[in-house]
Amino acid sequence: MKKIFWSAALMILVLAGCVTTEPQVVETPVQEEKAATPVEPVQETRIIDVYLPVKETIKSSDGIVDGYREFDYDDAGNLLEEREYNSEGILLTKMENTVEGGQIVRTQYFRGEENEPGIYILRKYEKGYAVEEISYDQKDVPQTISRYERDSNGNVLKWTVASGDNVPMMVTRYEYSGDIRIKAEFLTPLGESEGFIEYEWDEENLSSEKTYDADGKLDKAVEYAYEGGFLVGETHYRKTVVNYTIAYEVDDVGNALVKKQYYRSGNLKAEWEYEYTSIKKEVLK
Amino acid sequence: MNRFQISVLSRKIILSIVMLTVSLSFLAAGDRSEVWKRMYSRAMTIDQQYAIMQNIVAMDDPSLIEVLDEALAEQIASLEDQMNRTERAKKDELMRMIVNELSSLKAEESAGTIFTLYNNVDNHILKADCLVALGQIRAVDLVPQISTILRNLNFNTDSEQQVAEILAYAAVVSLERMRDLRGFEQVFYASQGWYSRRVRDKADEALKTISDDPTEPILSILSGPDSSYKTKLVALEVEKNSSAPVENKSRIAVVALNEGLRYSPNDKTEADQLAKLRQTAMLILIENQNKDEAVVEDLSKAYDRAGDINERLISIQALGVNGSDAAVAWLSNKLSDYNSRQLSGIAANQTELIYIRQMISSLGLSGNVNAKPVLLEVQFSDYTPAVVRLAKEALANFN
Repeated sequence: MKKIFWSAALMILVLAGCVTTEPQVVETPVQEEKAATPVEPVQETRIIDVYLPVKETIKSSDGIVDGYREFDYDDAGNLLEEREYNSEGILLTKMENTVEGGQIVRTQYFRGEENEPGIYILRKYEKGYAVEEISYDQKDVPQTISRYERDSNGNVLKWTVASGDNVPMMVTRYEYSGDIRIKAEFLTPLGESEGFIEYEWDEENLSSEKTYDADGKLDKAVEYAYEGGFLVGETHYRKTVVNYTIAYEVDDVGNALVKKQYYRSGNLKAEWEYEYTSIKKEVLK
Repeated sequence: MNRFQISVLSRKIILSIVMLTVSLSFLAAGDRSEVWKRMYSRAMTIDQQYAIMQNIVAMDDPSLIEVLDEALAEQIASLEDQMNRTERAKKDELMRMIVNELSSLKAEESAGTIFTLYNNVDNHILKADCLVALGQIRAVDLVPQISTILRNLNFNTDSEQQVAEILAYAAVVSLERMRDLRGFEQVFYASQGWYSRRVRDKADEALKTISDDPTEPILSILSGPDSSYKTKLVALEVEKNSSAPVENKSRIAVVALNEGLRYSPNDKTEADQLAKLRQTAMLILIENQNKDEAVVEDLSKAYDRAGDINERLISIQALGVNGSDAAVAWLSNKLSDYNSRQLSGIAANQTELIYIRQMISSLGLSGNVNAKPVLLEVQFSDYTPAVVRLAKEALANFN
């Protein structure tokens, strides 16, 4: 079951659609997995299938295709390129990753068929974890700088965002129970709280994520629903009122085949269909 | 650490590495959204807002729609603020970024804000982005307004034609993506408009997407007093090539035939356009095996009005396909006249013989027994053996 959960989590997370600029921040129990401490070597290995989405088709509520995205990977499964097209097949945006030593060191965004360059992000790593990300505009002017402080297991303890000229703008501190994240608090550079998120877990599954304002009042929340260890639904609240919901249709190994977003009224807003490829990964037994 | 723990941990490590290398997407990125959101609210300058917005946009997070919408509304509210050219350009770029992200997130709830921006901003690229975004999020409540924008552009009264072209293209894309029939008519006129080929081709392509059955707007275009004969013909051809039901195509063809007969041409060009309109309409009626008796009058008028042999033959064929009592009566009378003339010694010339042969065939194919008397009459009207044989073959249809 655990194996299924992890492959399901992987796929669903891949498909969550939120391109974040900080590859190491993971709110699932996966933090525990990221332990950088030496592991006793185990000689026996086995091959597992890792599924990678290669195409995401976006459909309107009436089922008409509105556009699609394509994803390319290298042999190790690193995402190299993501291209977004409209329904006529015209390229809208493109994202290119540069991989060095198995790590994404540069992400470049483009716009339009002419590949007009947008921002790009450079990352630095230490001990396998990103510790700094700087985003630049088209004129190579730094826009924002993110720095991460981590514990020995790689868990992010502090995330500082500074302006392009290196003036701190916000600090986020994270708390854990073991390796499971339970809180993220947003602080001004002077240390004043601007609010926080509390994470609740049902064994290994993140069950809810509640965001509070600086006065401790609930601002928004997300509840996650699982079946057989696979994420099958999300309910997003604005304060205590449902804002929208998401439902996933997953295959027997947990790959999300269809994601549907509904308005609070229950009417379908849009849906996304996914196609996958798979690569073989050798893992320790 | 026991074997089970090692095994689980090893697996977790591997999977973790795979996750980090495979994807930058995670289940809960709420903290990141919250951070950028809070930072944006504290940003004091356009530069800061722009820098932070880039990160917000990269999140592609539907829960940030409200933040994006508010950010756009704030930018709209400060449109009149004094700023230098650099700041103005940055502000426009920031608004473009927000509009495009709202579009990508299909933020239907932001349609009003985006349309307000369209109405209040001068930058035509940004205006075009607003139009496309409204289409992408399917803001169908705004179809009438966007149709009006396109209609005004179609009139070609804008002094800056290049700007008008950009906006027209965007409006066409917008209406295409909305797939609402109310947008069809103006997109049709754009396809026939003053624009460059790029815009006209796009509009032509959009017509196929907007509706499988464009009958209603085509009807409006065909009957429109301002539509040129050429426009009416194109409208008819669009209907013909659409996926509309056969009965709707016939309905349009009947109207088109009537329009083709209604007007008197001022010159040969117009005469040719009207003739083409009538012929295309009759060919559609033939193809669809239309048997509506009400159209017989116009079919017979088309025969009388025909400018060439071809149009007359088509009208005779259409009357035969129609096969109604009225159609057969008209054909019988015509043929009977020729029979009488032939009997009285006035031989039909080559052209008339072509009509006579087509009438015989059409009466035979009508399947209407009312056609038998005149076909029998042909056999005793002193025609050539070939014509008599044709009449006998036609009569064989009634056995």
